[in-house]
Amino acid sequence: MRLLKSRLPPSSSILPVFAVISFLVYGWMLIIFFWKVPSWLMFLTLDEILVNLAYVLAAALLESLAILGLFLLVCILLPAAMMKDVFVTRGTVAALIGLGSIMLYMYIFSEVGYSFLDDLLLWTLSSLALTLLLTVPAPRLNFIVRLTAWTSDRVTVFVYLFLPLSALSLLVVISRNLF
Amino acid sequence: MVKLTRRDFLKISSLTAAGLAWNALRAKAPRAERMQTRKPNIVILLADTMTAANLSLFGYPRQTTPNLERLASRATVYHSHYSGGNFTTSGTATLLTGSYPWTHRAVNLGGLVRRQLADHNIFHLLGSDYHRVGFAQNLWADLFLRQFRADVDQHIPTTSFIHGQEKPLVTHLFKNDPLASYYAVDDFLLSTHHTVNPLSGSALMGYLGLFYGLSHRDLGTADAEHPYGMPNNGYYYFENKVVYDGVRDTILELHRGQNPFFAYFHLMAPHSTYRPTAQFADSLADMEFPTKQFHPLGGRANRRTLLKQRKVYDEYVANVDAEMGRLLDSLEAAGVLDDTYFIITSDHGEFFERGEYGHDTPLLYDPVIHIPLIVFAPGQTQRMDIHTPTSAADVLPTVLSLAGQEIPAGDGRPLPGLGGSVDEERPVFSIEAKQVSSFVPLSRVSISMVKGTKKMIHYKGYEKYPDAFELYDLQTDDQEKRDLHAEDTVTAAKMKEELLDSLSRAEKTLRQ
Repeated sequence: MRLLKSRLPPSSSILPVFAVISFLVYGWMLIIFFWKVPSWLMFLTLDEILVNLAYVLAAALLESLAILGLFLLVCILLPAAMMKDVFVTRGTVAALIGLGSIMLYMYIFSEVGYSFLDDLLLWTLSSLALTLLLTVPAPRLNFIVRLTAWTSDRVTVFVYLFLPLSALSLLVVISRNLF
Repeated sequence: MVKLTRRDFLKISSLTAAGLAWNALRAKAPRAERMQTRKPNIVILLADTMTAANLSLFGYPRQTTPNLERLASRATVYHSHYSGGNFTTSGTATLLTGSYPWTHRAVNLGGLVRRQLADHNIFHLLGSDYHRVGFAQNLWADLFLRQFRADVDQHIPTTSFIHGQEKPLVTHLFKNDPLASYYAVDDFLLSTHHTVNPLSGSALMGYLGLFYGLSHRDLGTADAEHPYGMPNNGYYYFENKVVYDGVRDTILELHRGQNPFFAYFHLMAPHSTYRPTAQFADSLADMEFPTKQFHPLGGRANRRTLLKQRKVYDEYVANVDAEMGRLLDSLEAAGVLDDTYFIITSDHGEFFERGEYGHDTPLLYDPVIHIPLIVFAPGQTQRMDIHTPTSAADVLPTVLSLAGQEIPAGDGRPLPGLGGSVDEERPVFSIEAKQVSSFVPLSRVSISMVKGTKKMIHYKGYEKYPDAFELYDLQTDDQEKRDLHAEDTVTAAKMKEELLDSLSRAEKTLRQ
């Protein structure tokens, strides 16, 4: 427990990183959702589409929490100086590069229409390497520190919008699957 | 001690013998009684995308269905049977609801039956006297089993009898909410379907799903038994032999049950991609087929491609025919066909002409809507051939009639030879309206109307081919090469009026 406390960053540092992660996850999902809505409107009623939205928001919340959980796990595994003390900077950079590369690949895939396992593996390894490469020196570069702080601060407001909606959505999904 | 006289001994002996005989008879009685009094079992076996135009049973020059031809000697064969639409959603909904697409409104890719009509489905109308079972390999057909889930006693998961998954399918985990979870999770968050949903709703889940799919792709690669690769439905790989064995075992188990059963099996083959086994791959000779002109709304595939696609499709049909033969032979040997109506049909056809192949088309020429219908009745020993036009919408009232249930008003009517009568004046419709909302009038639609030997096709709302009508005489021109619309103006005017009137009446029901 003491180890956890000594390794985990304070909530004031966790929230901005969670805000960046959720901004990316929710942003992507909502953009694709609204792209999809016109085709759903062809055969689904409005309440059925709202139920789909509930699933999407609940999934976005769980996905954001899972990614944050992964970052916190890294915090626990690494010495405090490497991650805990610079969590906002490194967490934000890792989220932007890591999730950004995944989104870029999926966008390219949708344009090209096919993919190969070797390409995907190469992309994944390259993305991991790039994420590490940019995450490691980030806390030493002042403009990156300021930029990540500014970015995470600006997107935190969305958390207060997404969280209650997602909590409600999660309740909707749970109740629909229990009863 | 009680003393037994000779008379007492004889009395006891005869009573014991009578008791033993009674017990033996009582054990057999329910089975015999059941055979006489209980309702017949009914099985619908639907082979997705099986066009009647390419079956030798209906005169196709390639020998694609030797087994069906052999088995048809004791069945009723419908020679002019038409699907409700030209793709899975509309065609299947017509079969399961007994109504045309302009009534049931499942007209879009992956759409659902109009909510007000959801109770008008074959499972619900058959009632709880039957044990009702549904299995669909095609996900869009499985959606209807999900929509009608309150009326389906046994919904066999779509992932049954499979070889392995190419893409993760998770909605079976959401048992209480199978529709919303399909649209939101499988079809949105995970999907990377190239036409329906090219971008997955969750980048991370889509990425991981892609990883899963690519690392499992070897499941479907070609081998000695599957020279074109393993058949698949876009989500998972399967072997037709295993699937048909699964269907057989399910039917045998149902047949052992106490209640009469109704089973609907919607099997993927011979839907593309065509994957015949080694026994059938390259088993049919090359052949020439009539050349037809491109259509303004059709594709531009060249003749060589069409012939090549047609040949592999025909081989796959022959493969399916062999599996059907194997299934029916085993059911006959097990005595299942003695008290079971067995119906073989399809949801729509397939196209290899006019620059178009497949069935993703607004065109409604016969190959894409003319489907097989073969009905094996218990005790039938002679072949019966019905040539009058019939519709997939007729299957539901026929099934209800066979089950002794009341037939509600609808677009279909019992089939001739199975409770219905021949009516040459009756029009039979097939409708395609993928691009229109299912909640509004059909502003862009293709409608085919077959009446007697005449067929009219109406294309409405297409910019390239605005408000067009075509007329064919199927008796003298079964290839639909000669448009008589400008020649036989009297017939054209009559049929046009009837078609537009029917459309107008159907649109009015939408507002009810």
